[in-house]
Amino acid sequence: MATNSLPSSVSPALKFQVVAQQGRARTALMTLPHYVVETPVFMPVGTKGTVKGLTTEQLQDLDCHIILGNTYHLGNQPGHELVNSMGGLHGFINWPRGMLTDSGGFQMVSLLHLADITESGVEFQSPVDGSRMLLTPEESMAIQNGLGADIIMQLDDVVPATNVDPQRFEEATYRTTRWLDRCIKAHSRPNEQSLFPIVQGGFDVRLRDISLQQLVERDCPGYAIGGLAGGEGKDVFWRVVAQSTAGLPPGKPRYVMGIGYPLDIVICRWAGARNRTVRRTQTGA
Amino acid sequence: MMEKLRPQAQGIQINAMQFLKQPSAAQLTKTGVSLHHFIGAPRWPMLATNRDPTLQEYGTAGKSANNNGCYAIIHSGGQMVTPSDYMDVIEAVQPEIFVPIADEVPGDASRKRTVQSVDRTLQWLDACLARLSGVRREQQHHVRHHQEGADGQQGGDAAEQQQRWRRGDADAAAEQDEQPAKRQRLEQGTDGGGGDGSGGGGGGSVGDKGGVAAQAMLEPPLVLAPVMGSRFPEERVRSAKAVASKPVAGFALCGFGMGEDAALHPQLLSAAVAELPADKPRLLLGMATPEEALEGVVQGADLFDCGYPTHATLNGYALSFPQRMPASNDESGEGAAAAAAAAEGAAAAGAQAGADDSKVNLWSLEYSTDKAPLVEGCTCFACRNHTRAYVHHLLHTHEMLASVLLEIHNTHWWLGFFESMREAVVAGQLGEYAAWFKERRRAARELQDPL
Repeated sequence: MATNSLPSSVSPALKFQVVAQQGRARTALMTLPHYVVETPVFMPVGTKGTVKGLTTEQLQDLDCHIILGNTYHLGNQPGHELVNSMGGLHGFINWPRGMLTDSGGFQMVSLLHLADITESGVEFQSPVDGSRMLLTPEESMAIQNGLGADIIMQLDDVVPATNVDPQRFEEATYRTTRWLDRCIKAHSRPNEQSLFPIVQGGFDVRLRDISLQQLVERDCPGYAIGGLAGGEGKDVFWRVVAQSTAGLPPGKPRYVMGIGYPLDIVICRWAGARNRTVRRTQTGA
Repeated sequence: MMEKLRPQAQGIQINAMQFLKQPSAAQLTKTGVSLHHFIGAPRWPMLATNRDPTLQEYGTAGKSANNNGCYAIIHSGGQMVTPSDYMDVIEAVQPEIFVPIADEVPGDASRKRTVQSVDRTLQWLDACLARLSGVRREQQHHVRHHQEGADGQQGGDAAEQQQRWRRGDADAAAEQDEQPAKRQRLEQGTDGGGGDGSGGGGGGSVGDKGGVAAQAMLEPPLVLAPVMGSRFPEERVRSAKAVASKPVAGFALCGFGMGEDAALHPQLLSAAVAELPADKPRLLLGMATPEEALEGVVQGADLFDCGYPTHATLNGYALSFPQRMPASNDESGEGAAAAAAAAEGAAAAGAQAGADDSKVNLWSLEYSTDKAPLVEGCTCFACRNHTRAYVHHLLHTHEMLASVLLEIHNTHWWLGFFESMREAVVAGQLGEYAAWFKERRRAARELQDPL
């Protein structure tokens, strides 16, 4: 089958070409400024600028194409200005291939006792000196622009999957879109770094649909599916993933965030998802 | 990773005591392979010692030794260890060469206690040699049985003994040529700190697999007899004389790094070495600093363990002490460049940064944006691929990779140090080298306030 009949897209800092399909599943080549990544792809977590105990040479020997850096941790230490002065995260850790950073929002919510989400952003207590701080969509962009990863994530309004308040999910769905718009506006390096929105909506079919529509309207280089892997049941999980991938443009990459058990990965592949992270250290899996 | 080290590392050291538990000798034996295979280093010769230089406390904390055995503190806690326990471990580990169990005493032990430790260690050595010759006899019996056409038939105790000395067959075949060469190098008294890894003299090459198996069987480990004596030169002499004519491959100079005054080392070492045959290697255990290792070389030691590079790593230091005299014919860039840069670094850094020209303290905040390698001019993996700023960051975020990179560098540096000393001996310049080295280190210490 000629590849020009398979889904593809071209964005300022990302090219995506599906090379084979089977049902909803597909394999593709994702061209980033630093590397051409074969998908579906598992992205090892290099939280503080190192994939625990491995040298970047060993990662290349393992044929790893893309790793993650953690915005919250690296923003704290050593800080994005220092990383920027060292040639971005790539230069600082000497990793020549693909890199993705998340927004910092998840760690805010999951790690910090006193995180408060308001329309401005995520308000929290600094882990360093206890002072009140605010992570806004704009600040998240500034940090991620300094770190310089190929793919960066919007700051989204994440509701824990175990929350039972439907109004909170509704609020988060619309706020995520508003924060996406602020991120797009604040993003200072759109020709070098691709900003991915994160689909929210909890497990509500209607809210997921709204989120999908609104985010896809913004015509971003790729999309992430968030709000999962927070303790929900498997039946719920796969239906949400399936609905989300069905609502996303086929020619663009899809990133399912935070899953890691092998079964989940296979399900997501079936549903047509692209990238996934594995939080080994958190799940212990 | 180890294969990237230059000068080439030639072997690894393990502490036999750590294999009393988890894994125990019995657990190791069940795997059916030697420790080399268990740890995934099948081609590295292994030296098993009675002490771990990175874990050894001063003296023998815990219970006292008695005639039945000594007390060892290992990862799982403390326990009494008999010569028989120790040999169980040796048989399971299957090192090429080892130091038998010894009655170590602290550097301030009484003469009476020291005399006791010399005598006791001798008894334990004889017990160990007896056990080894028992094993050898059984193996030889089995070899004859095997070669008489038993075609793989195995039976009874002899076979069990054979299993204990066999390593993985595939690697035995690969190593058959290496082993005689290694032994030859050992017997010629090369040091264990590194080298050009050349093939050495040709050993007997055995053709068929049956012959290979036989050769593997006939090689129980070589013994380095312990020389005790603590800080008493007469006891050192007595201990050395007692082992000098034993049927062993070499000698282990024990009881150093036990809190004794390092100024005593020259006398203690020369007293012992004077009684030992010149054609057998001497392992020196427990040297804590570069100067002490150098003194050991001057006094005639051939093999060394040393916890110094690892201690540097654990404390976030990258070794940088100059290794090469700034001689007029010094062609090599590395030593001279490192010497110059290190001197510069020391001058610039000053006392506040915790720097001197022997090591770089990567915890220091002054390195947070330093794009230089750990040590300018160093060709190790860490220095070629990473910066001080990155290692500094890894230390401050308590990341494992900090230790990985620092250990690579420090091991490289230490191997280079030994290469420098070998070259000085070959050039007949060891005296000048030692004088230069000690003077430089002494001058560096004077940069800081005395403790």
